[in-house]
Amino acid sequence: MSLDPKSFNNPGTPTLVEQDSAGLGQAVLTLTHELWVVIDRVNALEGVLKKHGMNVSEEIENYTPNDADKAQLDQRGKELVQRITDALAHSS
Amino acid sequence: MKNKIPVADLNQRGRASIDFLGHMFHGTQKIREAASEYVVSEFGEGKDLPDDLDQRVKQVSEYASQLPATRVRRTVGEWHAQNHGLIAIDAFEELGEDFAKDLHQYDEGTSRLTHDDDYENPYYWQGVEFHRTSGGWDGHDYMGFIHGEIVHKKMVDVIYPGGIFKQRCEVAKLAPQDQYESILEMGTSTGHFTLGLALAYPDAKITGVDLSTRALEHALRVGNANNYSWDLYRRPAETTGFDDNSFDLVTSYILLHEMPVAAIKEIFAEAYRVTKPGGDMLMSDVVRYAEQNKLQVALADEDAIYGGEPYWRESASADLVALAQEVGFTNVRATNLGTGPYPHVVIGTKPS
Ligand SMILES: C[S@@+](CC[C@H](N)C(=O)[O-])C[C@H]1O[C@@H](n2cnc3c(N)ncnc32)[C@H](O)[C@@H]1O
Repeated sequence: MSLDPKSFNNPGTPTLVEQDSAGLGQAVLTLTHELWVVIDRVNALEGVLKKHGMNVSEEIENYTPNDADKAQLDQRGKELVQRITDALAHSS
Repeated sequence: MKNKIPVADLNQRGRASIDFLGHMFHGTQKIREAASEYVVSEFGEGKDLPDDLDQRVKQVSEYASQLPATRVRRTVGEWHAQNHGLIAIDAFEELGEDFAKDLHQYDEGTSRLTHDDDYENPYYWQGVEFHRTSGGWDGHDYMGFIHGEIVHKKMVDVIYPGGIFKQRCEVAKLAPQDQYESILEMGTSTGHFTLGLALAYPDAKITGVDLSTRALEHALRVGNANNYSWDLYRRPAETTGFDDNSFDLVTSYILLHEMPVAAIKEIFAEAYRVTKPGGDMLMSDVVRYAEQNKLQVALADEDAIYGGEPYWRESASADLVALAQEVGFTNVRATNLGTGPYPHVVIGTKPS
């Protein structure tokens, strides 16, 4: 049989084409913006906690969001993906 | 259901990364819908598309590529394909060596695993990264845990909440008789369907075969953690080595789409050989192409090509009812759970 099943390991999926590169640039910058907001926020949070004498890094490792927190995170995560992929899809 | 295998309480990075895969799925729903509407509005049910599947996939795929939403959908899909396994492995490794060592307390118990190394893995399995699973089914020392507990229970669960184990339990209950004494499961993997069988037939002695050592090691731990007496063997389903007429049910769950039709035929013949007269077979797998319209088939086929499924096309094109009849099973019929065409379940009996 001629089919090499291992060729499916890296199938060379066609994804973006040259005409997408404008949107790609927008999306990368959108992502960078979002990431920066988060970096700034984590920094602010750690600074505030330290001021109150709390070292929280281990607790953060093991932190499990409660249901309400999780629902809010899920919503924000979905919106973030939507913003990035919309930028990719709409500006080409 | 009790399952004392430690739940992977992931660290922040692993947890957030897996959550992110869920966000990617939910956040691209509109893009997927737009891409789907685009091809449906052009091709309808695909009646005018070519019969030749290569040509049909090419035509649909090229048309779909014109829409940016399609290209973005594929980009996201490709990112997921390349990264989901690596994220699961990272999340596991972040738990640390002690966590991994603790799993070995379940190596001993009521279940048994026999390594049978007298055969070579088939060419259609060896080195193939099914589902684009990084490294394949044996790609990490703890691949069984990583796939069974992290990919299945955490990643897939985000997309089909509570669904995939429930489906296995319900399929197990579709076997014709109320109770079985001895069951052979082909393609046991990490024991996900095995648990469903154990719940449906609590008095049955369950035997499982699979090619993946790493997956079976996890199935062994799941069996031991739950005090089940599973007998697991690393052996091919084509040549299980069991005596003729040994089991009153021979069964599998999503094993068959991972192999060529020639192997399915051998597996059905083997299932027939080891089933006791009057015993049953129940094999479940992906939706048949014959049950889908021409456009749906083209789309499913494209997903298979880029989703690490080298045998999906030939396997989903096979008539499993006819193949089961060919080897001698009678009263063979196809069914499903009544909630949609997946999974396609074929049930038959070996005449007394
Ligand atoms: C998709 S998994 C099925 C998982 C499991 N039955 C479940 O319900 O989750 C397919 C399994 O079949 C195994 N397999 C593939 N070909 C096989 C063969 N010829 N004999 C035995 N096992 C095989 C693979 O190693 C893999 O673990």
